[in-house]
Amino acid sequence: MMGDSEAIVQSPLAIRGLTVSYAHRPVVHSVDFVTPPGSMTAIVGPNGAGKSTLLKAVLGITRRLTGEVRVFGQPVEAMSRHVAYVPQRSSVDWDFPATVIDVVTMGLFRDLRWWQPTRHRHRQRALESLSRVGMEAFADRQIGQLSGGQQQRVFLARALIQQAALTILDEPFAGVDAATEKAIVEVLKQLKREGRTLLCVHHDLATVRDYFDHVLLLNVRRIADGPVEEAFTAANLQATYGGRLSPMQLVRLMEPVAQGESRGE
Amino acid sequence: MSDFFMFSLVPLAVAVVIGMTCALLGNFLVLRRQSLIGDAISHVALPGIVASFILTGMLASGAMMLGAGVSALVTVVMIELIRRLGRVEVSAAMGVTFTSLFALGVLLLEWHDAAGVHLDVEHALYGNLESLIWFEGTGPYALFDPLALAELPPQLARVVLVGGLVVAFVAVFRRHLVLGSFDADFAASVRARPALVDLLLVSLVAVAAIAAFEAVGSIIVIAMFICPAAAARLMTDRLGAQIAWSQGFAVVASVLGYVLAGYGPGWLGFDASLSAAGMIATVAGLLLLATCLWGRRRHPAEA
Amino acid sequence: METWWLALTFRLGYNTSLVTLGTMLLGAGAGMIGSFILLRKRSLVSDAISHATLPGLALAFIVVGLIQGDGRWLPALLVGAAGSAAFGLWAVQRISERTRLGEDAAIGAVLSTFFAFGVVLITVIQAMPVSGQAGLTGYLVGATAGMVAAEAQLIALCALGVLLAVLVWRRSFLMVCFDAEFARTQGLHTGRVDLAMLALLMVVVVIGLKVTGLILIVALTIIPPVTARFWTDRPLHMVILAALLGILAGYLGVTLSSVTEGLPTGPLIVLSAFGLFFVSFLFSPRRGVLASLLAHQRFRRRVHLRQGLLAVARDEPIFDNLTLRILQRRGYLRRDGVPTAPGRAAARDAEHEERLWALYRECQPEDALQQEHSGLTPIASVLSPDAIMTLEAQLPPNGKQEARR
Repeated sequence: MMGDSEAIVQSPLAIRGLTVSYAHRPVVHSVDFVTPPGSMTAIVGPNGAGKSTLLKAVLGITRRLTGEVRVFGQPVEAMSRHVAYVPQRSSVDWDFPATVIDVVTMGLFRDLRWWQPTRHRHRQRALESLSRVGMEAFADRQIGQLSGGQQQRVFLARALIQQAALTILDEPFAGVDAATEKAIVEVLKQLKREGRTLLCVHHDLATVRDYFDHVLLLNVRRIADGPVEEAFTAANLQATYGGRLSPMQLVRLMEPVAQGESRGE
Repeated sequence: MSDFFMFSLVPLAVAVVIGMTCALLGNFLVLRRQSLIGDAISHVALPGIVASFILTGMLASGAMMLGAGVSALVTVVMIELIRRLGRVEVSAAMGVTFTSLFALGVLLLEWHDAAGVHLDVEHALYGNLESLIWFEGTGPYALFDPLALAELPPQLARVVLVGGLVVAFVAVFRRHLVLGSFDADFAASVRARPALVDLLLVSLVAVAAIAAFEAVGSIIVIAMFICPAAAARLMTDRLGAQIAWSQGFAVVASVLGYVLAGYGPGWLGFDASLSAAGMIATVAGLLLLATCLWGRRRHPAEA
Repeated sequence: METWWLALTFRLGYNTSLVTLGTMLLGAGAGMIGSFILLRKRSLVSDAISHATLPGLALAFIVVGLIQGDGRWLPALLVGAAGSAAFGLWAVQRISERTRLGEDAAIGAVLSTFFAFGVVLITVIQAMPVSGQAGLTGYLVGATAGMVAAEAQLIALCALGVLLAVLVWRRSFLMVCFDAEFARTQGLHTGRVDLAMLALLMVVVVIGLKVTGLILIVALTIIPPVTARFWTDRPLHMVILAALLGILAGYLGVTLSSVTEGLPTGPLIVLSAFGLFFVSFLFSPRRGVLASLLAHQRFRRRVHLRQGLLAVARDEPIFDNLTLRILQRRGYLRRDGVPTAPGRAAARDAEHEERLWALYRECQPEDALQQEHSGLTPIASVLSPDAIMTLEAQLPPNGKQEARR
């Protein structure tokens, strides 16, 4: 049982003592983290730091060894309706026989009983989601014909249609072009303005300051977390990446936002 | 004409129903890259049937179905255990499991052959579609005669029942199946229970394989699980259309195969008939070959 | 029992001894080539190959039967089998390379279609005036009982050839299995190496037809390598071990089948192999089920213990029931949840360990990554006393974690 403190009841995702192991090696070790409501949080860490595993364990895709996960103070198992998930784009077979709109309506899975056909209004909702990511023209396109960035937008649209309080994204910017990255960030910021919470595994340190307001630095353990200005420091980054960042890189990362923007182009 | 109703109608109907049933499930097996689970399960029906025969001492079809069902379940559990606990790659785990169980089946069978009881491996492998004779089927009017209909071979009712079950399963779980096949992680995140649906799918594969096994032998089952669905995959990019194509291919393969086996040698001037089950599976394979060469969507979609 | 002993000691006549030796060689060859195929993650290709032999067998039988009236002539049958197996293999390759279908669908389609066509040909044979038809079904489940010396010699020779070929090419095989991309950059023709592997696999399958039958030969190429994998992590050891296991399975199977008249050889060989597999699966100290389950339990308890002790050290409440139980059982926690004196001491130690590890990770990140530590192993077992002394000296008096935040 987790203490029902105020912060945990309000948080769309509170993790406590979460450990996940593969073959007797902890991939995620004893992580505590309370997602601030309405925040846009980046999970940052080197390769193999357990970022994706943390998300999968939270969602119940991977088994946890210890620890518990709460959504608004309730066990996540009962509250999964409030959580939307955008998996890594590379985790699925894009040659699957489905169209763009088929994939987006998959997000309505929980709203449709088996005897209910997919009706016009569901299609309408899917089209709305698609238009939010600028993909409405592609609704009937076979998913195998999409570019990487377009595939990512479709995945995002599938999460949008769930209208969840918390959206968890795994590397949404991996392998997408600059224009798509901008578009996706705009959608995410829009979601934030609507009061929704976003938790996002992110690999590009240069854009952390630009895109996010909170950060969780992770390398198997939690190294630090908090608002970007406080937690995204040279010392914490050094601890997370274990000295693999050069002093030059660190200095650049610590500079104000404008620098990050020019790198993002 | 009366010959047709007596000798051909039932085998043809059984072959078509089995073909369509297996092809329907096959669509999901092919999409999940699990085609070979059908292969594994059809092999292990043999030990199940032999074991039930040894235990009950007779060839009662109920007991045989049960035995085959149990052995299919044992197979699935064994594959999972070897894969998870032993950290063995899934195809190797499958290979270990089904060959061992099949070996056990053959051993038990030969033991009993020695004791003078009749049941042979060949029958199990290629079935005996031609033996499904409808003695009362003396003409078209028999179709409306309740007495004659009551004399239909029981295999027909059984495969129709299993076919209905499979159709119901796919209809009810269509979204689960699609979601789990496309994106299992997302399916888990919306609590679509991909692992459970996976198990259900495999169980139904087992049920279909067993029902078919008794009537037509296991080789046609494997072919029907894979060939029509694979051929359909090369024809279209829509799931609905793919399923429709696979059903069409299954019907064509069944009818054409049956006719070729029964009448083909006669056309060539020989007085013999060939294995109908084998011919049906061969035609299914040829259909796949044709789509591999000329299918509209034989290559993966390009961005 | 007595007959078995005679068979085991090769005193059951020249023919039986020859068959036993031939089967053992076959087991060795199948185990070796099977190991590479397993490492390449293509185990079930052998299933396609073996089923694809049937039409070739049947065709050869028909041709030979038309010529000499009896279709049973092993060399021709083997050539026919090899021919159609090669064709099946080619079809699998083409389908999985040229179309969007996966290798699983290609294997399944080829094995079922070829086998079905073979069945059709068998019904053709049944309608022909050829003798020796019953001999053909022997290829489905194997029969060594009626094997003549010349056949056993042929099988033994082929198996020996496979063994030698594997020995000669083992390095290229390993490189391709380990990392095909890298092998290509080293100037190796990975396609050709793959082809050589599959060709050898095909030879094993074809000569195994007579011994175990076409469905069960697959087992001999899969089970011994999988078994070997339980005992070693090194590929070459695995190949050797798989060969030995294949030899043992062949030896046990053939000799067991000579105990009573009418015991089928193929299934006994496969079941012997499975017996060896099962023992390894349960009891192997490395990857066996029992060892894994024990290790998992131990590991889980260690994680809970460490997390609990750290919570005690930081005066945080503990809610996890298992953690509480473990701490209580060790006497670190009273029933009402208050830490005991030894509990506090252990918690201080755990906290100290954790800080040492953290400091070590910070000071020597590269080394820390090299050590496959989980932070749960006592640091003293990983670092030298000197290194720990240095770390201790650097340790700030109060927790550094807080200082950083």
